[in-house]
Amino acid sequence: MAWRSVLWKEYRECRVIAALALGALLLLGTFLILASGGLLRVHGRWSYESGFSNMAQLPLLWPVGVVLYAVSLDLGIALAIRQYAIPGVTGESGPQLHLPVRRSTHLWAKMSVCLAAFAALAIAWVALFAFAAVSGALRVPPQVASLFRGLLFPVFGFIAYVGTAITCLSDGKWYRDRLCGAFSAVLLLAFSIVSPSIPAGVPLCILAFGSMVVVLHHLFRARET
Amino acid sequence: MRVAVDTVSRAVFNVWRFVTVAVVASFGLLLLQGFMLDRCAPMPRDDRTGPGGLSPREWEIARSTVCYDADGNVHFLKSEHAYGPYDVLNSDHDTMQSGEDTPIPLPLLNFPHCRPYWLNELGAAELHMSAWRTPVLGLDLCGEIPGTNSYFWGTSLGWDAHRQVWALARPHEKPFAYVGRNGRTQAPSRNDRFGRLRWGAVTPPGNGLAARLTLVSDHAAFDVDLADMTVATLFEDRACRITHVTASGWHRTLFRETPAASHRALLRLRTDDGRDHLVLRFPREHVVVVPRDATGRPLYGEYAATLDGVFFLHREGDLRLPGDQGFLAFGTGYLHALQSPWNMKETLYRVASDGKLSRVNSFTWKQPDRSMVHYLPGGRPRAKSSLVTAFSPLLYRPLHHVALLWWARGDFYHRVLGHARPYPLAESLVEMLALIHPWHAGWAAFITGLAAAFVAIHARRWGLGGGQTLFWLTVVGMLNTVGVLTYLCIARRPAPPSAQSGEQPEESLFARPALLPDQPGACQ
Repeated sequence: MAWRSVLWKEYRECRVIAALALGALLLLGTFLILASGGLLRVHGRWSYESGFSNMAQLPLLWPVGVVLYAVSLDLGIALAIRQYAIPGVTGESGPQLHLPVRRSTHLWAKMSVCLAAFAALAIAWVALFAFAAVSGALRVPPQVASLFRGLLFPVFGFIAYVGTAITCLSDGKWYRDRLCGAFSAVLLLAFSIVSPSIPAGVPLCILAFGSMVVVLHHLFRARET
Repeated sequence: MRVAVDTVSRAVFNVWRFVTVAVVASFGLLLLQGFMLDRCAPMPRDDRTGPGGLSPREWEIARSTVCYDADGNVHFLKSEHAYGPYDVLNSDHDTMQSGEDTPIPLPLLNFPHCRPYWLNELGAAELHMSAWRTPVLGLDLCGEIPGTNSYFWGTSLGWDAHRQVWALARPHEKPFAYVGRNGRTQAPSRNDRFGRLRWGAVTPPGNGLAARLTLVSDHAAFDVDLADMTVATLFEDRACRITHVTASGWHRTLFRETPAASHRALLRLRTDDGRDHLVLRFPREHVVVVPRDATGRPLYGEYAATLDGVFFLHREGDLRLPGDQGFLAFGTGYLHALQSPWNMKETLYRVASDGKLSRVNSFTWKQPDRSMVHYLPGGRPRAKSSLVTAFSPLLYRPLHHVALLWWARGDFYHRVLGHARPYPLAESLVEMLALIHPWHAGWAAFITGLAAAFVAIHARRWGLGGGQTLFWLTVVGMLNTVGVLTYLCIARRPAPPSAQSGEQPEESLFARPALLPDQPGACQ
């Protein structure tokens, strides 16, 4: 019962932000698909020197992928600020923490709502992909690989969420170690991009992200306000 | 259980915070020091004038690009940014060009991908990898057809990944025709597929010829006339598979200025039976070459075609790497080889119309070149990095060695086997580490001593325990100025003694500061 109450409370607090992000993705994504008219965006035009072979093409849904990436990161940052920073400023978090509910319940409720928001983004991406593939808006059907690549972006958004949450929960000075969470998220996102060239890249990313989740758990349990 | 979870999460928190702060401080300090060095310490003069022991002509040769003309003469072209052979040993006949702006009297042979390309004791996998990178056509490959007539104006030819067929379409419209082995068809079902495409290139229109599309599949090569969409088969052999493709002048239709040695368009198809099929244009010709020397040893190299003939350039070296291809053994062996130069040899052959090779000239020099030496310990001029103290030599040397081992395999693939750079991150890391080499051990030790003294005094004033002070002194000893920054960011002053007991409470190094009663949220 307590779990459902806390979950409902977190949902009510975050639903506006999640709905805005979802609406922005769907509107912008649909507009970009329709506005493209099926034109392929050629990256590196045909040239006399390199001919056709140099025309590394951008995926068909690349502009929509950029929107998804930006919306995911923004949603992660906005949700973290809403869930961890604003209650501290308004003084709501103190009484909530002293309710007869375990702190872990609070934390998992917040993270569950956040995960649900990112799952909604992923579903919206799948819907946009299906629209592009089925409606005939694009002359050439998009690749299935683009679909799976796009599903990584909400994961990146969740990394941004955890990093921002750690920064919000930290009580260090801004010029000392308070920004560790944000920096570690930036480092992890940057490393995630280059890690395919490193054999141990994926396990390192998983290890780093797992550490960030543990740190978030530790800070939330240790928080006083 | 709860205590164990708390202990583990606290330990993870401490390690995570330490690593994050150290990494961020390293990046920040390296950027700052790199910026200051670039601003304040120009490249020393001796790096531009060359190492001692080389005559001015030898040094000019060392900084030049090697080319050949149709008579087999070796030409050394001066280039400001090129690092050529390090030490020329022998060549039958050579010519020194006076400068980049001076017109070259003879047209030079244009070999595609003029990169070192040679094999030694590598296995079959490396043999396969050492060949040219065959561009595999992307599924999204599409582009406007250049120079076509008004009917095709604005038309795009694209790879329809869904139907696995080449499609013609106008903007904002669906495909109206498809192209296959049987030419242009209206329906994809009637299209005779090219097969799995391995390579493609467009020849622009010119000399009265329409734009053409060249496509290479596993067993055949096709020439598509983009004006009337007719398809001609350049080569087909179902018995063997095309493994590598290179093109020389294939995209150009305009001849060079000097017709005596002007280049011909050449498409080289290497098949898995070891033959090279050379498809020539202007005039159309097909030459089959089995590149082997007089002893039957296979040769690997590049082709160039002119109206004077077809030429083959073979490159080999006497570097011997350890047979063990493991990370440590390979890297150590390659680094050792870089520090003890080996001989390289280029041999130019003329290809007869029946595919026989006849030697024209050879050119021998000594590797490595200076761009390799820069990465090695002691290879970079000292004035550039003499004041860098981002890390102490205690940490820098093992770190540099591990980075070099990581870089070695990618560098071998790139410089020796001619691949594109496979590990750009390793190369960037090694370049950065070469820049921040703490050259003067005395200066680095002095800075480390200052940093350690500061931390010791600061920790004593704060009342840190002996164990914590020792830990931070070790960190400073390893990380130098980065260690000081990490200490200042992370170390917390212990809470004051309890008013009741007057004793110093046990406080962890990373303990959160106690809340004062007047702080909001504190328990009253």
